[in-house]
Amino acid sequence: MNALGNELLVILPEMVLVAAGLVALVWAQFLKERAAGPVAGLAAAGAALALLSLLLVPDGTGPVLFGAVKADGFSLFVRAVLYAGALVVVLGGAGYVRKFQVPVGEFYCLLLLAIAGGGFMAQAANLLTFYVGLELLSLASYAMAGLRLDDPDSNEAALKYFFNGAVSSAVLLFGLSWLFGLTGTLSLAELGPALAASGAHPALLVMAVTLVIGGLGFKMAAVPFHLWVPDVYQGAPTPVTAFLSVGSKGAALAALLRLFYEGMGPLADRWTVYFAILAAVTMTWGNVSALLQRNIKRMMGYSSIAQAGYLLVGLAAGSDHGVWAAVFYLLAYTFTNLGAFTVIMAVRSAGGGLDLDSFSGLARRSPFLAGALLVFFLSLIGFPFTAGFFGKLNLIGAAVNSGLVWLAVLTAINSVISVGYYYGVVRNMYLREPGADLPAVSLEGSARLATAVALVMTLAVGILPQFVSWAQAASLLP
Amino acid sequence: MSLQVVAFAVLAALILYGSYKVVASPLITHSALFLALVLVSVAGVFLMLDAVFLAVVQVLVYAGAVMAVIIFAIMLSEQREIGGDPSAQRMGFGEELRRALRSRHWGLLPAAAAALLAVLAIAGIGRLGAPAAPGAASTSVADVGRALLTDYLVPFEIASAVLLAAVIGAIVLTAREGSDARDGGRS
Repeated sequence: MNALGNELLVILPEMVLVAAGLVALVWAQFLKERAAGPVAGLAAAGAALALLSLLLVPDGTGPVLFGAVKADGFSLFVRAVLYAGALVVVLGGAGYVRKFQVPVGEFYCLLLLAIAGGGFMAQAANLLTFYVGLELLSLASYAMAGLRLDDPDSNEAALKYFFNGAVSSAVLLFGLSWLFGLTGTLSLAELGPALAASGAHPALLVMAVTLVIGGLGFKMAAVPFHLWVPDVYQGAPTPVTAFLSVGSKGAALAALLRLFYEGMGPLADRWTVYFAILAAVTMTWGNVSALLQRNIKRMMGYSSIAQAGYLLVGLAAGSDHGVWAAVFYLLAYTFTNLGAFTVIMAVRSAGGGLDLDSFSGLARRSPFLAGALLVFFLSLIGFPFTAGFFGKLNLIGAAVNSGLVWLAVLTAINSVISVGYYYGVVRNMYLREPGADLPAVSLEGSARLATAVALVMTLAVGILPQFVSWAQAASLLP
Repeated sequence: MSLQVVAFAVLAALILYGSYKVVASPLITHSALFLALVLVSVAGVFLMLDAVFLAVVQVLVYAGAVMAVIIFAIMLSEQREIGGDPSAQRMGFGEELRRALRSRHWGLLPAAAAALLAVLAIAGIGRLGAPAAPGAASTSVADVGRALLTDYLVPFEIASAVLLAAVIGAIVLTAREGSDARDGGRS
């Protein structure tokens, strides 16, 4: 009994998230129109508590709870990034939720459930836990995309996301069932040896791997599985867009790393080539398409596609270096991108639009926000002394170490391309006069806190070496 | 050719035909009935795999309860929302398939992809050899229950959270009239 209790501590953070979500749902029905503030506070407290309860998770690298989950360094690191990200989303999005009358209880409940699903994906030790975690994340995300009930764009986003997502889930599940059929095991630890021993025809493995990459590539928004991204990112409520851009992507990356590097590590030379091609196409397509956008959320959508391409470089490297470089980049990207979205939400909540002209003269209207957005964009580009710089440096190093020099060069070239569209916004903020009809932007306390946290983390991750050693501890090797 | 192979071929053909008609029928009620055919045929596959309990649950829950809910939903919808194109209802199967493949929605592309998948699968499985025969003892209800509360405890519990998320999402997205109407519904 005590042993089981000890093992249950491994999933304590997820239990906290689900419990907080349920309380948020019920409490909001009692508070009715006064719900926005208190329930946002409750959700923030839930995310913070989940983050803290990671400290209580007992160390251990083996699977626990009947082989369902694993509390290794990798799962702790990725879960910490996800839950800290959720906290920033809640804080940064509170003003938006109140202003645009997003259903309060449902929004925070679904957000916390989705985050818990992502946490289960990050710690999954068998295919079944991984898949139900993914479904929890996905179903909650589909519903969240449509939460601006009176907005046709939001309805369209939910519908498109749901149909595309349902198909991609089916594709993924088909691939997983092939893996199970070939090996007879659901356990990730037994998957690699069983595949090597099965003597299965390579065509079958190719098919299983292709289907799995297709299904998870959808969640990561990798090209060519990205067609849903612009419309869903544009139509969904902005806090949801912010969550999708880091939460779904991070959880899908963790799942890919676990499934391929941990589960099929011995066969790395067979699958790394897929990820190298996927990474190259994704980052290039995302960056070039972002150059053409006039709406900031669509631009950030394509930008996040490009960032997914960078993350995939770690998988293409197929080495331990690649794994920690990818999760380190995830840490850098999570805070940077959430910071940028918090600023966008603040401008939007102040009555501005979402086209790039709404950012004209932001440096005059709110010097703090303009400066913060500048730092976030520099980090997304990979400018020195920001988180993104070391993130990209590590990824490029991992690619070179694995002999993928062409991919390393392409990553660097893509960083230069991305300057083009980020600079467009920066020019509007600093060099253009604010139009007469643009409102002054004031920040609420919670959004100010979220921006500050994201800003501090973006700079700290770029300067302090401790974060690199934490990421290195998140290795997947037993 | 053993009886098992024949039975499997019949079930597979029923499943394939049923699933095709689910998406291709011009009338949504027909789609629902073909879905029931697919679900019952899948129960037959479960029976062949010696999973008696799963087969019974499949028929009771999916072919029974879930189908009833789907039919109710169709009956409660307005006629103009569910009525299909009347001219399409008299089309023969061959004509229907030909139109689907030649439609401007690139019907040939998924068909070609599915064919490629089938070729790969058949080529690969041929090299694998026959699968091991299933164990002699068939799975009992007690085994399933024990597995759900031990080996698959965590996925089972997450699945309950998945259902919760689905229900919340469905309710909040379909209660169109906003909170006032939802309160009014109580009286």
